[in-house]
Amino acid sequence: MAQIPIVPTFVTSDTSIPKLAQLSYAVSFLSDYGVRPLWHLEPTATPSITLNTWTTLNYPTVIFDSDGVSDAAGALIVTQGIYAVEACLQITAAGSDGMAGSFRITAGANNPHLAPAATIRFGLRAKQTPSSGGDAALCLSDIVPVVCYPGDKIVVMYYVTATRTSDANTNSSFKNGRFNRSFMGHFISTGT
Amino acid sequence: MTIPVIPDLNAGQIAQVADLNAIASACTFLLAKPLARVHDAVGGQNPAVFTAGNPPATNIAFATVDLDTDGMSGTSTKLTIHTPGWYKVRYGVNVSTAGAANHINTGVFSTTGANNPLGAGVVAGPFLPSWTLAVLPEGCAGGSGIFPFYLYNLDFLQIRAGTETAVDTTGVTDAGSFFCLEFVST
Repeated sequence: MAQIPIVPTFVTSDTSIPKLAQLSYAVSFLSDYGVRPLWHLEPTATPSITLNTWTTLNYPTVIFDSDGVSDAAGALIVTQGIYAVEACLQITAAGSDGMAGSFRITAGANNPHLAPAATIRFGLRAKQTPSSGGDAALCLSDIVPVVCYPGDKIVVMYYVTATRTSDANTNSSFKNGRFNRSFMGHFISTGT
Repeated sequence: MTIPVIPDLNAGQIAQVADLNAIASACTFLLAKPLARVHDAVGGQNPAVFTAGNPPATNIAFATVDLDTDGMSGTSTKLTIHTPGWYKVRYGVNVSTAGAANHINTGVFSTTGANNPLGAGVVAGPFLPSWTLAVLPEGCAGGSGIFPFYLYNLDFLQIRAGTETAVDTTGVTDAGSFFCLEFVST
């Protein structure tokens, strides 16, 4: 768990090494993504996206995760704060389907703004996919609309109007298997 | 918010308390920097039908304030800058289709305020434009990226949309329309 920095105030003739250490840690937190919470997750399976049903996609592959948020499905927040999230969604061989994606946060037991298990959907994108049989993709980007607390969970969801699958990048053709599906997030501000 | 002033510390110099506090203030600023997120929780807005050769014309209202650390959200149709700098924009305009698939056209527009060297009232856009063919049950066009202009105190940004037919209205069922600004740099 990353510690939220406590920024010190210095006084005349201050010789406090702990204060300098606090200041140093604050700079590390702001400039070093090995300290500041940041994740990039990817799915490994090729799940079927059920017709006309919002489906949560699991992201078990950790590309990097500086704060240990990955729980194989989504991001389980460890450090309190305001977060920005992004995702790349893909479905195979689409054909004039409706396709949508969004994020969802489910409150854990520590969020004073939400009842436990309460959910908020955010970051929606939706469109009609191409008719030519090529893959389709959506990119989502949003700021989580509430301050996140330890135990809150953020996932990525799909919706399609025809049963489709999502597969990994295989570079199979110019219009298929070209997408690197991912779910990314990072701490952007303190908040209460 | 006040933009931090980072001190220069030179060889042989004894750091003064003001220098250390200036560095500390910079950290405090970056740990709680200007950002805002607003959304439309009501829906039922009717973006004007767009015509060829014209950008989207209807300002989308985002009346619900989720986050706002710098007083940017006083008016529902815009976010106003109070700390000059470079900002990242994220937005989406959710439109419910009334039957057949319809097109949505969106973009970010800026209007200068009194502190901008260009003078007040200069409108530019669309930036980060998006187009989507919406099919049942909905469509949502949007974008994200660093806004291409340095923004001054009292400049404001708006999200405008246009649709193919007059029957499209903004939706809220699956998350609705949203608009975010995040300070990224002086």
